[in-house]
Amino acid sequence: MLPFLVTLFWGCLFLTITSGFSNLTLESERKTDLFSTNPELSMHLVDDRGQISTLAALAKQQNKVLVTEFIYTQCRTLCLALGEYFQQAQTQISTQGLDKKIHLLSISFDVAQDNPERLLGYRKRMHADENIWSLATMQSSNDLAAAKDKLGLIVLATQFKEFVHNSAFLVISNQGKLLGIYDDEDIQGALVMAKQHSEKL
Amino acid sequence: MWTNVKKIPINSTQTLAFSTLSLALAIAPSLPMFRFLIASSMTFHMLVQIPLLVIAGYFLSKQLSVNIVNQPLYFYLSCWLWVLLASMFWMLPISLDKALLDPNWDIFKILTLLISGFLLRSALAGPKILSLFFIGSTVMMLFFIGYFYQDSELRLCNSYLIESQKTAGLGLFIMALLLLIASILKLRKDISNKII
Repeated sequence: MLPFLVTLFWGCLFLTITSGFSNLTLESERKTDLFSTNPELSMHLVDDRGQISTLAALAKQQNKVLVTEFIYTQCRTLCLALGEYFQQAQTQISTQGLDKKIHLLSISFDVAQDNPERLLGYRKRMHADENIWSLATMQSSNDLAAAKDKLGLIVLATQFKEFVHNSAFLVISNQGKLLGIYDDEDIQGALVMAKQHSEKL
Repeated sequence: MWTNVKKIPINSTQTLAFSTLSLALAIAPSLPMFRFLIASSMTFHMLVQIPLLVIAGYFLSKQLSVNIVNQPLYFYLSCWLWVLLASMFWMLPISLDKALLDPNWDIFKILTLLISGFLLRSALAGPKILSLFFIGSTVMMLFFIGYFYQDSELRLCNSYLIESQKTAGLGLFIMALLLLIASILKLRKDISNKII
């Protein structure tokens, strides 16, 4: 009886912490949670022209489905890969004539350093087309805290003002609600979801 | 040659000192003041704090001189199951992250691992064949998880950098190797002493 109880006790714990063996990492738990709750995104952003709005307001104003990523403009590693994925997505959106339906948005979490000028520099480097790809930075550290809390964004500062961060593509409806979240290798998955949703527009 | 090694007797005062010291050292990294130790290094979390908690539990059992001999088989089996399942649980990436982010999980970690050490002392007093089986499983698990942490290109814990993960993987691998060597030596000694 006792060996059985010990196994049962730990079995239940394994089931609890991994939500039924589906999430062995915190990152996968975060994504599963976000898929099921669809929270509205109210963080404040400053775009590369210095205009301030919330993420939800931006989506409503564009009236397009947004595909979003988190970056910082001085990043020389992960964000470059993310940027390349966005460049491919930009080409795809323009060749398939989806520019009235899907919009890309890169959001910087480097609240202290990134400003509209730096975003403009990033736009030039990335050849981002204004009609398809917007750039913004979070307005204050409160917004960063909210993104960390609500969206499970993780940003760890390292030496030399660099950051290590997790990455994912967020798909956001034209009403500013989160629809889905995809791995950083799965831009195609994010685009397919955005496309499906944009057909209802 | 092993029979010639003299055992150094440890008196109760020394046991008390050992258990108090290891307990203090094991719990300290979870206090806000020293939290940076486990927050910055996965190796410290997995290869220093977690083993220390088990060691502290072991000495606690010694200190309280719990009766561990002549127990029924199911008792020893339960002890081993607890030790194996608890160590498996606290090697999952999500468990390490949660222990770091949520104080409740951290307290739970401290308790379950102290109990692990406590029961480990009983477990080792049980039938040798059980020890052989469970230590064998633990060594294989350590090798496997150590290899996995070193080899994975994905950052498995959100709270740790990938370099930290690779070092922790290497550490687990070395720990598995040391445990393997120690158990082979113990086995040789037991065989020559005709205990098995």
